[in-house]
Amino acid sequence: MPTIVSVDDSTVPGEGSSRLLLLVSSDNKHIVVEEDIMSRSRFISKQVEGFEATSQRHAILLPFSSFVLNKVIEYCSHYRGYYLLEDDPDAAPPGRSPVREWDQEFLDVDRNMLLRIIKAAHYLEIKSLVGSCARAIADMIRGKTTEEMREILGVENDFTPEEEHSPSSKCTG
Amino acid sequence: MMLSCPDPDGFWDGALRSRLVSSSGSVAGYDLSASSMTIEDLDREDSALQRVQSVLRFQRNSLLSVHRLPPEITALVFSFYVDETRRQLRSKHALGWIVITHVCRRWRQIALESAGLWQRVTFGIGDEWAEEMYRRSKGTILEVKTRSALTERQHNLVAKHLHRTKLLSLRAHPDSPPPSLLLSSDNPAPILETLEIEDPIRPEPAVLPLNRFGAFSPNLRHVTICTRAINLPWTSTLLTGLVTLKMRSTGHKDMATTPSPSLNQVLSALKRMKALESLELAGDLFPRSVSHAISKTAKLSRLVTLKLSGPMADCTSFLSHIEAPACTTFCLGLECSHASDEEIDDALSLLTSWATKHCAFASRALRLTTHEILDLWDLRMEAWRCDPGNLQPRVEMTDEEGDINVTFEWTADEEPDVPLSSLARMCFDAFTSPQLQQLVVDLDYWETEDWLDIMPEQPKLRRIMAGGQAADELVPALDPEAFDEGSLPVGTRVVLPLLTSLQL
Repeated sequence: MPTIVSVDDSTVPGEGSSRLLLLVSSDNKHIVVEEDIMSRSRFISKQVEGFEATSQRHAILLPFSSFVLNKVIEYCSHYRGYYLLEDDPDAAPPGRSPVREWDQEFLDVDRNMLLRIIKAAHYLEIKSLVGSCARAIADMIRGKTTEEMREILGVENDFTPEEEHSPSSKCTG
Repeated sequence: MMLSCPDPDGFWDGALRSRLVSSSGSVAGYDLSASSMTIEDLDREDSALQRVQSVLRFQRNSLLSVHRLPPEITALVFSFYVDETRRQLRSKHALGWIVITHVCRRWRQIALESAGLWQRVTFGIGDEWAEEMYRRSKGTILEVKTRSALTERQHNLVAKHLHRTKLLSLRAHPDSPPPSLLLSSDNPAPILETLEIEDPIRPEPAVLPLNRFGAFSPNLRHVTICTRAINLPWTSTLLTGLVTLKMRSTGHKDMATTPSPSLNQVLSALKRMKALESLELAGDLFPRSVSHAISKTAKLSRLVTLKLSGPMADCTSFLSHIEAPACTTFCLGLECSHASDEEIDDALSLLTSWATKHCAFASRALRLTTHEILDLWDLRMEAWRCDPGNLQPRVEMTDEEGDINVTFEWTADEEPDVPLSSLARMCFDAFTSPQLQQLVVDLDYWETEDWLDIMPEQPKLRRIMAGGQAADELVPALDPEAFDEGSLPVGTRVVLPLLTSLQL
């Protein structure tokens, strides 16, 4: 449950009627953001609906760092007001995210950061960002050998010799 | 889990000494001289240690960020990876993506459990694997494409799972059972949307029992048939829901043992295809000398693309019985190599009359493909040049948005023995219009001077796409950097104020 924190139900100066949300990161940074920007997040939207039902506005505690949170906010800010099919809860389940040039540049980060962003996006239920991150991770390992993939991801070969030579490992096309 | 011994060196040293040797020796600090273990004993010890090592590594991997992703996210990553890898490797290495299952145990587990990754079954690597892929695909919807000979076992697999197959693309092989065996009322295909059958080599033309199959595949929308002779059930309800119909006859109709459909049969079937958007007919399709007796016309009100290639007389007689919207794109490849002058005259006359009547050449894009049409134009270029009015009115007509795009697409593999630059120029003259907004030209066929000469006549031209060696000559004259600003550098003879795109 989110910790109850007093949040002014004020509007952003010069920005019309968009209300403010207080997001608290795992490193205890308090970040104020317009509700409108974060409406792409199904998780945040559901939280806000809960606020309206109880007439109380809470801070929303999030299990990732302010660094990651700021990246997510940057993404949401960029697409503020844009319709992205993947984020439409009423749309039929979309196919995979299309390639978006801005996303590719935005996600040109190191492996660990990319993994943190996709986890945060998954937690916040921002499907378009999850899709773009997944595509970026796939691009990272594309064309690589098994050994190279392990090296990129820091993964050890944890197969037993039997598993390594099981029938399922022989199918290499 | 906490290790019982906090010091791994001490723990494993003790374990090794208790199992094998004493310490203080010359092999990595151990004395092996007193060991009485056999090779088999040592191999067993080694296997046990490898299993321990595997567990330790698995545990280590589980602490990594990439292993802490939820399985569904990892599966999503795989789906992107698989799609792109399949696209790059094509069917030659249809399972090249499977390397992801070799990275680590967790990835293998997720990949094996992600049925969607296995929805495209590959047959080229044996029966065992085809069965395994069907098994891994669980109940998911399948896309089945075969490019190699199917064994009988694989054939049975395809038939067994036809009920959950959305796309079925069969390329027949002399050693495979004929595709027609799959398509029977014994194998309902309730979700099948796309059916592609290519059987160009079997001595006897494939006889597709689609009249029986039709009732069992109500969702069929796209059919591609490439066989020695087309033998579709023209009266079947199967055809009425089609959005795409492509038929290519690879044999000569005089050689086919199965009779070709009559034009009348095809037209009757087309009239019932109310949703048809794409129609492609190629090869010797219809018996000749019957069209004059036919008065019916098939109105294809949703047709977007019509591709027609084959004997000129067949194509033109077919066209004369078709009505299509003005927005339809036509791709015509007319074979006239064996035609007499009289036949060519008749065909051209019919073609011109049809085009004028149906306004189809006023379409937003007209693509004339294949070198056959170049031959045709070579033969009758004088006639076209003498009477360009046959074409000019059609080009000047506008569609609803007031736009007209005329596209010439030259796809000749071999350069025909005709003066191409002048031919192209004449064709362009015939079609050109002040309303032209997009131009696609392969500059191999053009002299740069010809190209530049026509530019001032195109004040509304907004987009040029050009390829070929001559593009290099064009670049110095048309500075693409300046195009975004709406004009060309001082000194050039061309001003295209609306041009926004140049692709060379």
